[in-house]
Amino acid sequence: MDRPDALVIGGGFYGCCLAIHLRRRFGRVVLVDEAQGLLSRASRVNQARLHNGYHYPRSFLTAVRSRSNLDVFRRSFPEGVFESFRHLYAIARGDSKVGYRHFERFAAAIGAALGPASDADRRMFSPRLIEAVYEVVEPAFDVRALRQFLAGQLAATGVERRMSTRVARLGPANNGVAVGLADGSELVAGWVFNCTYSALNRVVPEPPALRPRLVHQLTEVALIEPPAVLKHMAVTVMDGPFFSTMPFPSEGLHSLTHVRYTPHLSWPEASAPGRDPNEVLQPPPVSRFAWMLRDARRFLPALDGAIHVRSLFDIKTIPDGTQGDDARPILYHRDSVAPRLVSILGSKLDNIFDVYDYVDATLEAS
Amino acid sequence: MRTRDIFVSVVMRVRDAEQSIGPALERLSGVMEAAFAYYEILVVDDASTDATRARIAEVQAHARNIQLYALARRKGDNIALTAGLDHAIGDMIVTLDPTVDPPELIPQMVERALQGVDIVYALPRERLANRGLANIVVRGFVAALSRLIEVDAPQAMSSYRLLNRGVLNYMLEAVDRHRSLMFLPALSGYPYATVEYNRLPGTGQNRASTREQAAKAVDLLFSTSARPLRIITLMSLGISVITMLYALYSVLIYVVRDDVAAGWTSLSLQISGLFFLVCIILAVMSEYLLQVLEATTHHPRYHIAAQRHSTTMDYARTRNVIATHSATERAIHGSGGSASADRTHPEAGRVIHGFGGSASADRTHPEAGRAIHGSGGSASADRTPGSAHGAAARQAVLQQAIGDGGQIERAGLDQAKL
Repeated sequence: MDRPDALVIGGGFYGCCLAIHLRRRFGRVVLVDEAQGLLSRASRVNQARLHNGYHYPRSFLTAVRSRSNLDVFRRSFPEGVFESFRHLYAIARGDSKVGYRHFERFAAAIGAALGPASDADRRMFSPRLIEAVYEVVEPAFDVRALRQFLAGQLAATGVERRMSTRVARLGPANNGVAVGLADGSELVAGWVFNCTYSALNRVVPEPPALRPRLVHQLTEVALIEPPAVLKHMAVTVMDGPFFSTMPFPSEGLHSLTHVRYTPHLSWPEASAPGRDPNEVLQPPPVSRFAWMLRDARRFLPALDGAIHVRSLFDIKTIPDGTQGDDARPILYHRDSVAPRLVSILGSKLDNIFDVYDYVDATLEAS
Repeated sequence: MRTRDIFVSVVMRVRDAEQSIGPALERLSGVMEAAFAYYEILVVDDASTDATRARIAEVQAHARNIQLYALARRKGDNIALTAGLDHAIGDMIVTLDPTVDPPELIPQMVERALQGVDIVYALPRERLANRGLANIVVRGFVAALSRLIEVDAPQAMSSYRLLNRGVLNYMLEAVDRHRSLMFLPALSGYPYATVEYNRLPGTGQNRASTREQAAKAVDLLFSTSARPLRIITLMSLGISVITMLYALYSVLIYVVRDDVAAGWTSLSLQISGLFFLVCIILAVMSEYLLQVLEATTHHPRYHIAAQRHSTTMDYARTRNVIATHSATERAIHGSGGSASADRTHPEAGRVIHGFGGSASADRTHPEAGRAIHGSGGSASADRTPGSAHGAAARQAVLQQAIGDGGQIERAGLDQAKL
């Protein structure tokens, strides 16, 4: 019987980082993923934004944590940070949940600099729909560079990788967790960290009523070739049913996402028990780019002429009850049936550092 | 462009229509889904107190692209509809009343708009036939107001209409657009077409009360026209003249009659003097008010429907040479002039390239047919006084244009005389 000290399920950003972190403590750490490559799902299909606080005027804690995490991220993954563009934050008139005064005070409170936008920048926006424009520092991450870096780190630290391997069963075991893989092999791991995001509850031994309650969304990130003026520019319109377009470094394109049109579908996991959320990805959904662009160019006429290259679709999963607010806490859940199984639902790449303390505390307590 | 690929926004306002809104939305959604690849349905709930929102949510659970905006407070027809128009993202925008306007007409309206008009009014046959007092009153009002503000709008128009994005953009520029919503498309001056339809047998839900209709009419009158204020100015001036005459009269009476009651003359002078002042002040103030209104309501002073530049660029023909022998120059330039005469434009029938910069084949007048395009570039041929070839070609062009009944720009004629 194979007995690794720790098993991490999920080769996304959280899983990889956690496996490397755990390797400092344990002799044998195994990382399994059903996909062939690392960082292929939710870690890739998102805005690629490295939050610097500006995004959360309605969630002070999230804003402050984002800011301090960004510095750590820069130091930890310097190759993965893409900064060669200017980022404009625009405050919408009328429908926004924050006014520009509120936004300025908020930025001052979290210590984030708001630079004045130039006249040329301002002229790209509709004055009727946008009341203020600021230049901020908010980089993007390059998921391809992160993938390479993490693959190197996994190899260097000696984490065992088992790709294209699906976990079929998890159960309690003496001083560990019994793991059954889809290929029929069995192993017992001292600890199991479940970082499978949308598949978080798929094979946990816990009865459904005790599992974390999740909401899944089918989301679309449209990849576009922006007009020349926006080539080295990112624009985020705050704060409500608006949009954002920013560099998507791994593809050399821009992403276009819209609060209203990016989520195609949303359903609480409990409403479809036992159903694999991935089912909604087949057949490929019809793009909402036409909607996104038409709404976005009302605010940002300069976006007219953007060319839709393709769209990335994936499942976004959030804890039930947080749909209404911006706060994206990390969900940290110990299984009640197999207490050495910890499920972690990540929220954003850049707050991975928050979770290390919890993992360390859990391990030290036992 | 195929009708199916047009992005259509349907904007509607609902209020306390719990019984009719569900089926109406289903029906509309079915029509849109079948006819268009890209569309959105914007429902503005004017603070309904019944289960209207719940009914809409039920439809949203299975029908795509329905967007609900629920107003916090009841604001009336026009403001609710304005809220919807403000948020519409379509290339063409249709407004309708879901309880009486049949959605099956929408593809037909879009089709009509694609033939080159920017506004399509749907005219209810009941109103065209003057059936019922309400229709007669509305029609009469529309006719009277269009005459007053000198716009061209079909008398039987209803709120069921299609607007091109350009028309909507024009409307969005007006700060007080909610007041003049009904006439703003007409005020924009874009070309329109009409289609006729039969209203659905209404349930009586979702209709504005008579009082509201009257308030809307007053809003409309005062927001689209400054005439009433001008009338005040004129009245004030008229009254001030009359008071002056009255003052003269009272002085005259004082002089010629002996039996004037004590105090009558002074009282008369006092009253007429004060009224004169008040009227002058009113007149001046109403003129200033006019200007303030114009500045604050932001009704666009003008709106450019289309721009077009001459389609020829013949600068390359001009040789950058100063010839000392005029014969040489004639030989070079003379032959270049006629080259563009027979070029035809695929859209505007025969287009003749002359000079003088008259771009009259405007998008707004698709029926203009033959148009003469100006060009500064080819004029070089005629700068040489004796350019026989150039002048002859020009003459032929003009003759042809006149023969075909086309219009010739003044500038073109003058140039040709040279």
